[in-house]
Amino acid sequence: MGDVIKTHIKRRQFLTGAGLVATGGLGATAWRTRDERGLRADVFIARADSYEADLAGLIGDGLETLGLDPKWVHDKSVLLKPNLVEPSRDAPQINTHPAVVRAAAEVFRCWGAREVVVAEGQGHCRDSDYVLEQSGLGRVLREDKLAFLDLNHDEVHTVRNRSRFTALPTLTLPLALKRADVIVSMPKMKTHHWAGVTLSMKNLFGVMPGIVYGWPKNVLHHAGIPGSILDINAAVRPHLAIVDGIIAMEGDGPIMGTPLVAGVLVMGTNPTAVDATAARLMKIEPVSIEYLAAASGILGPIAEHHISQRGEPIGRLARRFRRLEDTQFANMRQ
Amino acid sequence: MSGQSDDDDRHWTIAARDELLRLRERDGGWGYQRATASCVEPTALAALALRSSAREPAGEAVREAADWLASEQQPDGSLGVSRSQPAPGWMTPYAILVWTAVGVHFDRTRRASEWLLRQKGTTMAPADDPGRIAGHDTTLVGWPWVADTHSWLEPTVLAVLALESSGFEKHPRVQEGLRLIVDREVEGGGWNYGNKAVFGRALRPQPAPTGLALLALSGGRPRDRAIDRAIDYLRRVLPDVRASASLGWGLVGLDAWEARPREGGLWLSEAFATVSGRRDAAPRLAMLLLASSGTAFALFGRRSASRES
Repeated sequence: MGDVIKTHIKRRQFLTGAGLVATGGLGATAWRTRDERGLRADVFIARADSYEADLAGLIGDGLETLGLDPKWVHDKSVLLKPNLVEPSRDAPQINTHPAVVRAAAEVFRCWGAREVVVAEGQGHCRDSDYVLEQSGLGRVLREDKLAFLDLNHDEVHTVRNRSRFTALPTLTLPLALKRADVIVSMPKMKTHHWAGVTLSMKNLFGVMPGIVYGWPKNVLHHAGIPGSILDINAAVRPHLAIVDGIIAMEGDGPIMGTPLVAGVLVMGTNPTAVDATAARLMKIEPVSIEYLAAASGILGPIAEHHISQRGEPIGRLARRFRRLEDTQFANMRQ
Repeated sequence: MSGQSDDDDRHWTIAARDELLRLRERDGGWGYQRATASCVEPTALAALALRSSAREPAGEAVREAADWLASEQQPDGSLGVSRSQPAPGWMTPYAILVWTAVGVHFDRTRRASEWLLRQKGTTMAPADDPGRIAGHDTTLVGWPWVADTHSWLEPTVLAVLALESSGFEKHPRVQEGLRLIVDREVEGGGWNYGNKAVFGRALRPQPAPTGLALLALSGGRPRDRAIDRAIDYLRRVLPDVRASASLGWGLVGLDAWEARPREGGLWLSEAFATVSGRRDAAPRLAMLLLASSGTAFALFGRRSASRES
């Protein structure tokens, strides 16, 4: 057993040496749910067959069902954080669709937000303008007069890493997060060849400034992806998550996977519960996702009976998402 | 429709230079955004852009930028992001390039170069990746963005350019850096941030890293098929690109191999129109100005590559 662990650790260390990632690393906190009895969360699932649907209506209805109303954002600054992982005109499964960003902005503006800004610090391409150009989001931002903040090159501040799921003593964050009253994580629903899934919590890798963490944000890979996801979420504490699962990604995510029409939007104020619900919609057990298992009971609930399911039932919309098949990879994830 | 006239070029480049100068902070540096703290990268890009301007080079601003960069140097020779963010040191090559181009701060250049030569990306033996998860040669050292992490394309290109410009062109680390750049070419041509494939799936190229790689490889290498593939890629995608860093580095890379399309000046002027007046204009204006000269490669220690064709 000791040799197995030693080999496992050695492989993790060497793979980070190649610019890949450290999986695992959460030790005894992983692979079991914590006591969630004190935690409850509501999650809303909306069915949306295409990006032509009335997405603002669906999001507005969903938020109201979750108990949110205009008072929640009135006169506040709202920061929308989509997932713009890589520039690509022809792959609608990679980035959060501009129509979803537009719809969320419309809802918050109608609800009287003082300002709505879109912000991202993508990890694979330094040129934000190019990513906006290629993803189609730039055109939407211009048409809707929405400001974009490049989190990779923002002014930064450093905070103590209180949660310490990784050994990182501090986290350096963009000042834009500090200035925002409401932070909304808006990921794409995707499988991920290292983390298992990438949803609202993994999406926050994109708030970490590239000028400090690099492109890709290799420091976080070395520290361990699951632990980094938890540390960042514990520090940033996003207020809302809206997952774009209309055209999702299965297979070799987060970039090279294939599109899968899942036809859903998932939203809620607890990102852990939102991600657990989205995982169930992908027919992936939340407890099998290391960061979700470790987040359970600390950052939110993942057990189905601790999440109040609103909107469409999971069973009607759940689709099996194919995950990357690779023996060596599977061994590493265990 | 071919490129635009010299008058058109003069008009937008003068406007861009004036705007860039107006965005300068009181300390002589530039921030990534207007009225924010000066940072090493935008300051160096601005200095190089102003230096490359054939018309009325803004000598005083360039010299002050070089001095501001000097004031940012850490005792170990590196330069961080800004005064309040003294690490990581991946911007150090920019200072070397500015000091070399301006011909100042020779001792600081030496100390920065020595620091750079001490920086190494982490590596992995092939035996430890039997499944070939990584698609590139993981034994090559190169340069990382952040200490104790793997090497990536852009920091390696910057380190190679800076060390060559400061007299280390024969150094084994520089030669290995060049091999790393060649190795990271993606399938079908061009470069991205530095992952050519993961789990056997080829990743996509991007214009800015491709331009940077072309620039680095133009230092005396013969034109080979990798260069041709990269030039073909850029000439195919740049007509639809107006993002300043992608267009700018793409054209600088093409210039290094005398392969700039005739419409390049027009594209730059169109990109200027999208950038001017923005809060985050400074590094973008600098990039467009740098590319507008057509000879920016000379600031990186390169000559016209036609001699090699």
